[in-house]
Amino acid sequence: MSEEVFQKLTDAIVKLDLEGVEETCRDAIAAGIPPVKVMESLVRGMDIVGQKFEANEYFLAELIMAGEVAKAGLKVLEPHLKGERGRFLGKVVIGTVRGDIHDIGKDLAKTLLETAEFEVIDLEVDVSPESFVEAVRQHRPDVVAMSALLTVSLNEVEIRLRNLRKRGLEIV
Amino acid sequence: MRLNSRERFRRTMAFQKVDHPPFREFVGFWEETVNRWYREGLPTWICYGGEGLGHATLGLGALTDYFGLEKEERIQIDFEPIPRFPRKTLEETERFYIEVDELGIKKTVMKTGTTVPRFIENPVKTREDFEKIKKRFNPRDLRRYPKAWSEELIEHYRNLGIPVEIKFPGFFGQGRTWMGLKNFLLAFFRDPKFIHEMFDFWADFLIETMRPVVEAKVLDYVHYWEDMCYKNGPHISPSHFREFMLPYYKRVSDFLKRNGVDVIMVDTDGDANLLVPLFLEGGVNCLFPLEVQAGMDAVGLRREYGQRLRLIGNIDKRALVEGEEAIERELDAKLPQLLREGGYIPSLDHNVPVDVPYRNYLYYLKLLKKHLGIE
Repeated sequence: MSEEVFQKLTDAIVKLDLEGVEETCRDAIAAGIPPVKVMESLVRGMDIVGQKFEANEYFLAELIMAGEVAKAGLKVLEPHLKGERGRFLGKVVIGTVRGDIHDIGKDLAKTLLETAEFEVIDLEVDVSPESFVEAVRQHRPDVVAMSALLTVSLNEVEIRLRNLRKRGLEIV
Repeated sequence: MRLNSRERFRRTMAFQKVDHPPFREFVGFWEETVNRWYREGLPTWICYGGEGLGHATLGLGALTDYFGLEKEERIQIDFEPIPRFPRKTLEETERFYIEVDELGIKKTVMKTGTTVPRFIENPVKTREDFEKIKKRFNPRDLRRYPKAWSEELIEHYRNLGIPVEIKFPGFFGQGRTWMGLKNFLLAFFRDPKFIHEMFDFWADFLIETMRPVVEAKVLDYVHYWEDMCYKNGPHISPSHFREFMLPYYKRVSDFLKRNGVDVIMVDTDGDANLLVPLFLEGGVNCLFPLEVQAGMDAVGLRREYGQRLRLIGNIDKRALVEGEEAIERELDAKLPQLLREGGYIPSLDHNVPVDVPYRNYLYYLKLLKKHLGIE
């Protein structure tokens, strides 16, 4: 029974079925399936979407829609996950660099990371080097993700890396 | 054989012999690039209007003239909302301001650094919004045409020695302007009928708006602005393109071809490789700017599609950042074959970026002229 539900959830993500994912999540919770297990099925669906994207079967539109479908599922699960959610896989500080205010890529990455069970600290857009350093100091993330749409913003990424190195942080 | 720019363009696009291929910078220059060049030796009396160059009517031709580049004439037909939305500044800080622009788009504009704004909210969120905005797109509004539109002006365009064109937003381009990229992409799944309704409306609007100029038979080409790809490929799948865009491309192309417009070009940045067969099926026969860093390869496209596809651009702008050897390598690798075969106009694969030194650009032009056989 559970296996069938898990497959249905995974399929709902892959088929970009917004209503289907909400309904199946609700049914799964009502049937007493642990919400963490339900969430794992959503993550599996997003993995398949990622593979399809890599293989040129899915495109940006499908990727964004899959993110929306996953978010809708998570919204149903969220009240039931409290206290039950295991440890995050890691912590990510994310933001667009100073001078760059384009957040579509950043937001998409954030959705995908959250669905894949990362804790994401979103510094939003036009983030100064000092704010990145401060966020690293405060949150001790495993990953700092800097988004830059414009090639002219790439220098800003360099500045942040220099600042982080200066403060003795390891850059891999 | 000595040709004027218009004859040269037409013959090049028809794969016919020319005195030399067109000498063009098809996309243009970023304002920051020109400002940099002023500091590196470009005479400061050369004025620059901030838009793409080459439009004689706009008086933006000074830089083009200075470099000896050929121009085009873009007939200024207004494909935007009439009346425009009132422009309003909603918030201003030291680093940016938030405004609603004339297209009804709420956006953040940085005061420094970038010239590309961040779009916050677009005017069409619901069908009701679309019904409302449609009223601003009356194709028969006389304000869409230049004030000088007359038999006299048509005669002037007929006799011009440079190519004459019109530019308009394509289906994807306009849908994104109305809805914003994310909401527009989601609508393909959430409300596919709405996408069809928008594109159906847009096809009719384009045809009726351009009817007077197309039927005047003065155009050498038309130019869709789409920008529907990025470095990893198209924003939508080829199957979505086929289902949602192809029927409307065909409708517009049929109208254009019936009226003797032979060159239908699409401007899309990014990797458009997967869409090329669909564009061709939709009647489009010319693509630019063919961004190299996104994987576009003019030589490969020619090999695959032959004379069905005209090509413009594909000179890797990054070679001009690197220096003389890289420029030589880039031109030597592409130009001999493409120029020999015709149907190709060399140009950088987007605006000349700000990290291109002035001397490198001059070197590029010098070498390009040599390839073109101008000097």
